[in-house]
Formats: sequence, C-alpha cells, structure tokens
Amino acid sequence: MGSSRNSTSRIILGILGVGNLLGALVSFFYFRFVDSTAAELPDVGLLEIVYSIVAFGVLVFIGYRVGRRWADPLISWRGPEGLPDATIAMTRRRALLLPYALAGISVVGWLLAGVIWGVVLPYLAGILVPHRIARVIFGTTVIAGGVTCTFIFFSVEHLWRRRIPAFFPDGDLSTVRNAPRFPVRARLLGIFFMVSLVPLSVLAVLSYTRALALVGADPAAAAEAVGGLRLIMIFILAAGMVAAVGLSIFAANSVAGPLKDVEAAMAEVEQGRLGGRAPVVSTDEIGAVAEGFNRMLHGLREREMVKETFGKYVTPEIRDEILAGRISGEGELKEVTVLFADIRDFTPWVEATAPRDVVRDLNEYFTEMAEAIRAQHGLVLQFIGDEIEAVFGAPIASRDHAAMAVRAALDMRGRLRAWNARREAAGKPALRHGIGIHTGTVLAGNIGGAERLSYALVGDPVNLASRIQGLTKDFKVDILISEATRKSIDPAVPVEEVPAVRVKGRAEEVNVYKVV
Amino acid sequence: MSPPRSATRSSPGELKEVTVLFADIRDFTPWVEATAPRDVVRDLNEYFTEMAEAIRAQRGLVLQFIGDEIEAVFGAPIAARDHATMAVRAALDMRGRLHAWNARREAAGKPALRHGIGIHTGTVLAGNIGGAERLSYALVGDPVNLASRIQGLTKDFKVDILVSEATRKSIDPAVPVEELPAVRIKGRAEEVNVYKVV
Repeated sequence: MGSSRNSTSRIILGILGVGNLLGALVSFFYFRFVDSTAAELPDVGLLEIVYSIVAFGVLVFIGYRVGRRWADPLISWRGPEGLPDATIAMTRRRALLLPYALAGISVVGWLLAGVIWGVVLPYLAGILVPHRIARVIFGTTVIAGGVTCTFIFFSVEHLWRRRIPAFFPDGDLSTVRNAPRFPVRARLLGIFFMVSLVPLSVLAVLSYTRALALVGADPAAAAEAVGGLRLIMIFILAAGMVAAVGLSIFAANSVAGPLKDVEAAMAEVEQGRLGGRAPVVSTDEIGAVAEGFNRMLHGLREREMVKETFGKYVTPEIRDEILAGRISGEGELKEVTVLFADIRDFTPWVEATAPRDVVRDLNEYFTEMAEAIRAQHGLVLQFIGDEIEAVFGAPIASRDHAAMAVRAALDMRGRLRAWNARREAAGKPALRHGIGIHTGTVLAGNIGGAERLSYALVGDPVNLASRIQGLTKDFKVDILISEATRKSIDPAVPVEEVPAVRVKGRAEEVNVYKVV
Repeated sequence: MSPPRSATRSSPGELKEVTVLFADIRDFTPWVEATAPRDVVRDLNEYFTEMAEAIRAQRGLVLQFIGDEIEAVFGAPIAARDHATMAVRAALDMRGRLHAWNARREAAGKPALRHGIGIHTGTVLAGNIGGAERLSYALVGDPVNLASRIQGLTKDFKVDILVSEATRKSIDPAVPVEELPAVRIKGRAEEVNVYKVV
C-alpha cells in the first residue's frame, strides 16, 4: 500500500516532467516547421542553444520544486490520525486542487517561456520586433503551453482519482470549502475547444507563413516550400486527429467511469446489499450524484439496522436514541417492567378456523395491542406464537415503567373489548387474553446469531413475567401483576391480592395482584 | 437467515407439515447472574451463531431467539420431504458444535454450557404474523407448543436431544434412538411418547 501510494505521487510528479517535455517538442516542431521565421535569429550559434537548454532546465527544475513542495502534504499523508484539524483541512483541499495546481504551475512556466524566448532572447540578440514577439508568445504559450497544461491536467486528474478516497474515506468531498468545481459541461467544452483550436490555428499559421514565403520567391524556392508543406499538413492532421480521438475517449471515460461506479453501487443496493458505497472522486455533478447516493444509502442502512434490531417500527424517540449510539447493544443491566400477553383458548380457535383467517385475526389483535403498548412508550420485543413480549423502561430508561405497563395493560383490555364488539358484529367469536406483568432487573442487549441480532431481554424477571401471564388462566383473570410491580405503581390503582402461588422452577411463593 | 422473499411475501397463512426444533441453554439463570452482562451477551451470541449455522446447514430456518431459546423450523417456508431427518441431523450437529465450543470455552477458563433440544413433527399454521408494522414469518399451532414442551422434558430426563413419536416415525430408522417412559404434559390429556437420540 505504502509503495503504491508513493509511486502514484511519483508518477504524478513524473507527469509534470513528461508533459513539459512534450510541450518542448511541440514548440520545437512548431518553430521549426510551422512558423519558422518567427523565432529566426541572425546567427543561430552555440550561445542560443546553451541559452535555451539552460532556460528550459531552470524552468523545469523550479516548476518541479514548486510542485513537489506544494504536493508534499499529499505525498506524506498517512491518514488524518494525529494531525491538527487545520492541517487535515489544508491537505484535503490540496488533494482536490492537485490537478489544477500542477496545470497552473505549467501555465506560469509557459508564460515565462514565452517571455524568455519571445522577449529576452531577441532583446539579447538585438532584434526586438513586435509582431515576432506576438508570434513567439502565441506559439510557445498558447500552442505548446496549452497542449502541455491540458495533458497534465487530465493525466493527473485521471491518476489522482484513485488516491482521492484515501483523503476522503467517507466520500465527503463537498464539505471542503471553496473546493474547485469543474462542471462536466465545462470539462467537455474545454476539451472540444482544445482539440479544434490547436490544429486549426497551427494550420492557419502554417498556411499564412508559407503563403508569405511564396510572395516574390523564385520558382525553385517556391516549389521547395510547397513540397514540404504537404508532408507537414498531413502530419498536423494526423497528430491533431490522434490527439482529438485520444482526448475525447479520455473525456468520455472521465465522465462514464465514475457513473459506472455509481451504477454498480446501485445494482448492489438492488440486491439488498447495503454495505457498499459509490466512490466519490470528483466535485462535479457526478461527484454530487455519488455523494447524494451515499447519503441515501446511509439513511437506508440506519433504517435497516433499526428495523432488524428493534422490529419494523419503533417510536421516533427510540430510533433517535439508537442512531445517536446511546443504546448499548453489548449488554447492560436495567430495571424494567416486562409485559406478556397471550390469547386464551388459542389452540382450539386455530383448529376451528381457516388458516388465513387465523393469521388475519392474529395480526389484527397484535396490531391493536402493539398500539396500546407503544402509546405508553413500551417496546414490543417479539410476538411468540400468540404471545406478545413487551418491555417498559428499555431501551430508554424511565422512572415510571411499572405504571406505564399497567396503563398499557388497561388500554389493551379496553381495545380487546372494542375489537371483540366488532368481531361479534361480524359474527365471529370473541377472544380473551391474559396479561402478566413483572418488574425487575434484566439483562438487555442485542442478542442473536451473527446475521440476526435483535434487542432482547434475558434474565429471571422475564421468565417470571411469562409465568405470571400463565397464572391468569388459573385465576381466570385478565391482568395479573407481581408484588414488585405493585410496589412501583401509584397505590391509587385498584388491585386485589390473590392467594400466593408456587410457580414452576421457583422455591418461594409468588404474590400476585389482579388489576380490577 | 430470513426466508427467501418470494416464499414469505405472499404468505397469508397456510397449513404445513413441518418439524419444529426448540433448543434452550440449561442452568441459564444462574449463569446470567454469575456473569458480567457484556460477557453473557457475547457468549449467548456466540452460542446462537453456532447453532444457527447448524440449523441452516440442514436448510432449517431460525424463526426467533426467545431469551436463551432458539425456535427453528424444517420444511417451511420451502416444503421438504425429509424435514424430520433434517431436524435430527441439525440437532446432532448442534450437539457436536456445542461440544467443540465448550472445549474452546474451557481452554479459555470459562464454564461449559449445556443445552436441551426438543423436536416434534406436525401440521402447523405458517404465515407472516405480527402487528401491522412488524410482520415476521412465524408458526402457530399445537405442534409448536408441544415441541417446546418436549424441549422442557430434556431437563427432567437429563438428556440433550428428545424427539416426539411423530418425528421418530418420519426419520430414517437407522438413527439410533431409545424410547423413554411416556410422560404427561401440561394441558394435554394423552401421554406423550418421546425418544432420546443417542
């Protein structure tokens, strides 16, 4: 990883060298074959060659040093750990700016080159002619510099995209302030402009200078000028076409590549896999799409997590607690009130009723009861056959969970009665249920196999609550609460003590109260 | 772990012959009381993960974890002819996995845990059951309750795997089982014949 990291940085700095060498070749070709009279000096001596080589070397060296220095935080980046916030922000900004910065350094270099060869050299040679200055600066800065900067910008951007996620592991490129934004439209326009402008203007300059040379030339020299012209034009056309096709493919890929990644990420989601994300590697529209997609995915993941762990529906307050990470899934002891409800004479009813009707009626019953539980801030933990397990006081602690549970039980009684009235009106038998409530300290956490964790309670009070629910059959009452629950609720709630009972697996007798 | 979508999406309730398996950790309450909460949750999840793998390996479906208990079904939502055999094979695999897990636990200085498994075959009502906002594929019916009761009997008989007479009849006769004395179960008029899987 480390070596690939450094090699990317090295390749990118290498591009700075290669790109400028390409620019030097372009300018050599341009002034040798296209506009050969612009830079023509009386005595092309050793001195001019030395001057050119030294000037080129100095420009490249300074450009490389400046680029290297500017990119240093990027090369030495090993993640944000231990860095001050300001450094992190600066480095991330530079990561986004890198293609612009390297292209910008080259622009400055080629502006200087225009001055060095267009102004300083003729001045030293003693022939400062304004139209020649303009032609040299056009050939050097616009043609060679333009080709160089385009090449550097797109090559660096292409290679650097692979490294962008190292600086933005969360893909939050848009959080960088004043980040350069190069819209897709401008990118395409710029490329089309480059591939049409450069060959056209080179051809224009070529035909004009050759036409000028023909004026008053003797037939032999004219034939020579026109003869060479054909070859040069073919070369310019060929080079221009290769560049145009290459750049167009490149530009198309720079748009299509990131879109493909987003498409692939979408296909993952379609398969129900929410773990992935779309790589965000640019600040343009495509980057914005990828970022938006990732935000949507994050929302889906959170909802999925809440749904998986807590059932399809939790109250907004519980969801917020979960998403804020304030609910520990690792296991904690909590004082809660546990409520179990169960339908009486369920088996004979199932056997006497069509399967679809059983499922429909059961779901109606569960829906009613779950509403009563939620209205009292309870959480339905699970439906076990015809049984409901619910908790009050978890996952969000509350002081009066016992009172909440009893209020929920009374509401459930009322709702059952109303539902039975509707059932009887429809000619269906009424159903009865029993509710057992107990308060105690349980272990709460996300429990289950590796692939399916749900928020659950374990501990003796859970079993006892279930047993107390079972006792409602024996006492022929609908709501029974334990002594512990009785002590925690408002004494004004009317309860009646029933005889203490033995429950299975428990040495002591249990005191239970019927809620009237 | 969740059943194939196509199988459950349109499941308004149907009667199916299935084999139901319940597994439960022995002496769970004292263990919970003697162990740090986080360790209980971690160990319980390890146990559930192992057991769920054994169940899935036999194409069973874990319906839910109820406290320290696992409820699983074979032959639903996708019908299978040999669901009883699959369930018994899963139970034997669970026995092996518990053994291996306990060996790792003991090597780490932790107490071994035991469990009991009850298996029964019968016709249940399967469907998407729950409140309007939380439906899950579930089974209801007497065979489910009986399977749970048979699981409870493993405590009394001090064995780890018990199968009902109905399951016994559906499995390969080569599987070695031992008949145990018929027992009375709460809420049931007839005695129940159970077999221990050796």
